[in-house]
Amino acid sequence: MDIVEESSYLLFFLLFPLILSFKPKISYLIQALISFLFLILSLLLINQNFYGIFEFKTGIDFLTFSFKIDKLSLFFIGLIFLLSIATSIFSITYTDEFKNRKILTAIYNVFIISMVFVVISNNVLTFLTFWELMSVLSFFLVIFDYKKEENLKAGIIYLFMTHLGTGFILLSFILLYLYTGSLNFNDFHKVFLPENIKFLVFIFSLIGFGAKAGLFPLHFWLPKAHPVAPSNVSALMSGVMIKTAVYMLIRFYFDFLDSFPVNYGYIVLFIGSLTAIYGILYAYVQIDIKKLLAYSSMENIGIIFIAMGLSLIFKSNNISLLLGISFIAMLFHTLNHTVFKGLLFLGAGSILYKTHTKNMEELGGLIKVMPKTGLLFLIGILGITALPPFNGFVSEWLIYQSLLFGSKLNYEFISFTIPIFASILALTGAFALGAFTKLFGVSFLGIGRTDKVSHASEVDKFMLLGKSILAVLVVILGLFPFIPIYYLDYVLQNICGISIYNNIFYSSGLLLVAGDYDFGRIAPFGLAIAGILVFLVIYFFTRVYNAKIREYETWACGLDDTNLTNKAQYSATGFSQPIRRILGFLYKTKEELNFDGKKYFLPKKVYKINIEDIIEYFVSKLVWVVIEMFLKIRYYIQPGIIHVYIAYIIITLIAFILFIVGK
Amino acid sequence: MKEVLIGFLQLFILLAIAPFIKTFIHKLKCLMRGQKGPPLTQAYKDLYRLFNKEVVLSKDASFISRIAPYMVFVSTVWAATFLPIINKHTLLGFTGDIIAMVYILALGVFFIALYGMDSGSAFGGLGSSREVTIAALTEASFMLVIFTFALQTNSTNIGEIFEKVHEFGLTAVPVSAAFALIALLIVSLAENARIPFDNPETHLELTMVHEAMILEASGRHLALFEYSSYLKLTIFITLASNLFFPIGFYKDTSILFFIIGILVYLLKLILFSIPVAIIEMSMAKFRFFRVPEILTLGFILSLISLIIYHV
Repeated sequence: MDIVEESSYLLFFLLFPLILSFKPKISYLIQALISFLFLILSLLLINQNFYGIFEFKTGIDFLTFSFKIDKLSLFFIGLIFLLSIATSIFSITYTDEFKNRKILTAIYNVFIISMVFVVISNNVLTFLTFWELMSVLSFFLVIFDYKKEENLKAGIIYLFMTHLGTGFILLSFILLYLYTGSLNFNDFHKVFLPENIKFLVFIFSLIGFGAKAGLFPLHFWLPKAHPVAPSNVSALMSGVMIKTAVYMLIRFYFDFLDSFPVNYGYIVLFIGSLTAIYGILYAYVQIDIKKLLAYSSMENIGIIFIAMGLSLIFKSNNISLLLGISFIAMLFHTLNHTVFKGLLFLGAGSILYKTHTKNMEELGGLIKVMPKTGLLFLIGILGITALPPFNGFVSEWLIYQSLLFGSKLNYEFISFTIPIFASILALTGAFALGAFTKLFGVSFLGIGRTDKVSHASEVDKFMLLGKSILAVLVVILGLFPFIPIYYLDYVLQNICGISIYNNIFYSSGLLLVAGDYDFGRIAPFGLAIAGILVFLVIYFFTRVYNAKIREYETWACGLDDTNLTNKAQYSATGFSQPIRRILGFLYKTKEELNFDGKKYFLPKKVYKINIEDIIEYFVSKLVWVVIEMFLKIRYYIQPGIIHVYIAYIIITLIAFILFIVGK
Repeated sequence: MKEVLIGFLQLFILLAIAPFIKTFIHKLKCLMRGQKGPPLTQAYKDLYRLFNKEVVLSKDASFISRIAPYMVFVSTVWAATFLPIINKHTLLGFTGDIIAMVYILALGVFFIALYGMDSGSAFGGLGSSREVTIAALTEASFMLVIFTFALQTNSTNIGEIFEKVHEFGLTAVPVSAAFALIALLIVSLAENARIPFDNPETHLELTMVHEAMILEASGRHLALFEYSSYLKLTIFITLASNLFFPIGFYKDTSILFFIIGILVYLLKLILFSIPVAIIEMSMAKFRFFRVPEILTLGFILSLISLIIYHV
């Protein structure tokens, strides 16, 4: 234990960047270096079967800070530091133009520390302390640009929702405490609970952490809060902060709760698929780049929960091979989402930094002024839309395979309905393709829509480096999925006590699902090599054969250059219009067309569209109804009429007299 | 070694036959209309002519326009490399299964949609928007059809699926197969931009989808786009014919079986092209906002087929 105790002091290195916060550039640089060291360390420790518990006793009796590092937490630590490398390097120059840079740097650093400590907490009080710290710090980061009213509003909704979640988390911990008499996570391990209490713990934790992760219908804070934070922080929030909720749910369902009926998994699966489809349908209609990305985070959380639900179903059935596959699919998608969502948010940050807008309708043609950012962004998009041979494809493919296995189960209802979830996943993937085609097509391709684009230029090397790291990972994780799965297999051994690495790989290192459940196989690397070969052959063949290229203006029904303005090209609103119309019942759309002055002769038209989240709409309606009810009751009690108050006084007087007399 | 040869042969057959199938459908339509129609080699001539022409690129286009035609073609060829037509040994059968094929075709859709938006023309964006919408709504039913067969045959490997379907035939679940066939027909028509979803013969009509995206393309770029669309159509017809007409897919790899296999395959292709031509003859293109209705129909049919299989 001594070694563990001493090695825990390594965590104090995390304080270095915080202390240096008054020098933001150096602080970010050190943060990146330390993150890199910790990432390597956590990978090494996963390899070494590391397991350690260390405690810090405080003066107060019951308050002991207890930490545990096992392979699951190491994986999530690795995840946090992985993204932290990229965002910290990115932040070196990105934060230049912020006013309170030093404060931002300090909060940023503590935010990373708090996330790390959430992941290694080993008792309830430690966990809640750091969970709160994380929530409050992220609230400050959301309202960092506090002069905008939109940001304050988003921040307050976020603060409310996250505390609602914490309330439910608290409830589930209280239930666990009542049945174990301990606050230590170790004592919760495979705790015996009566069926109905177990269900309550399950539901409360799902609601509590689901609110943090952005599960439907508790998601509506997410697309408001994530986009308004500074982009480096948005990347961290979308990339890893919401994953801490996933981490805690894995702890709850795979560590604390012992065995449960199959419908628990089904509930998670159902909510996950709802989240996925809802998230992407809303992402499709956004015109704000960062809002689109935030909704797509919601979609990806949904996909992660689909995999989680499947692994819970397999766990209830004790089918260890399938449990392994879906568990690995879940963690793999978590990793993938961290990588590509981090990349895309940093890309959005670069756009914001150079053009000062995140509204797609004001962009266009960015690829000509920011070619490198454009290419990196494209790689991120290829990852997130799960196109082969990039990383998103591999994890989604694993989830598809798990779904196929799921419909082979012996429960009629489940095997019946699981293919529908597969089609929802396919639908989600297809809509993601559309949403990101729109994002890239409208903001990077075509002609610039405003001056903001022509004034932009390529970002500097730090910002490019931060994104490049993640872009390289998108490619590597896709082409060589056995590297991450090799590590994920250790996590699986730790949590579920099984290893499936040998079952899902060829000897030559290709991905495959085998054993009793042979379905299919893919080899992204082979695919990529083949693709590149075909590409080169065709490219050189056609080039050698005939390489003539002439540049000419875009054809616009005979209009010449002077008549063809950038307004002729398709807008983001127009791009998503078909879906907005076809699935109109899903969106709360408000359209407005105003004529400026003259109505008939060359009027200047102003078109406004506002798409509100329908759940948010209903929730705010509901809140309003409740408040109105309370106000009505108050109105009856305190109507402001003098007679009533006199009546109150008399009634009180009579009540007192009766009370005295009665005595 | 023999397997690699077989793989190359199958890929070659697919690549060689694709323009013919396109012309064949066109010719059939012309004959039914009472027109003379083009010679059956017309598509080959078109491709040859286009490859010889120079490329005219918009001055607003970025590098996306330069690589998109190749990416679209590569993705289609990719899909073709693991689509078995007469024998399960395909060139790259080990690298991907039917789910990968769906996603690889989506890669093509992604790049062609980007191509449409690249030159900043109004037509391109219009086409991209519609193409993406149709693709998004088709994907779910396509996946369900695939799942029906994957569950029946316990595999997502296309070769295995075809082989098992040919082994057991469709007699085990005939009703399910019938529903799946109609669903796949709808999906194929939508994915390949045929009537009633899109009209492949028109240009410069505000209703066009696929053609609007590649309106700016010319020369070898256009040739690649056209060739990929021929190939995609052939891929879908092959998929349908091998799933629903289980004859001519042999495990045996002797020369005789090959010749029979290829002949039967050609017959099947022609047989499955006829309904496409008849549908295009007898129907008008749908209004764009009625397209979701028929796609929903496809989705429900594929769902029914899956449920019937389970029962």
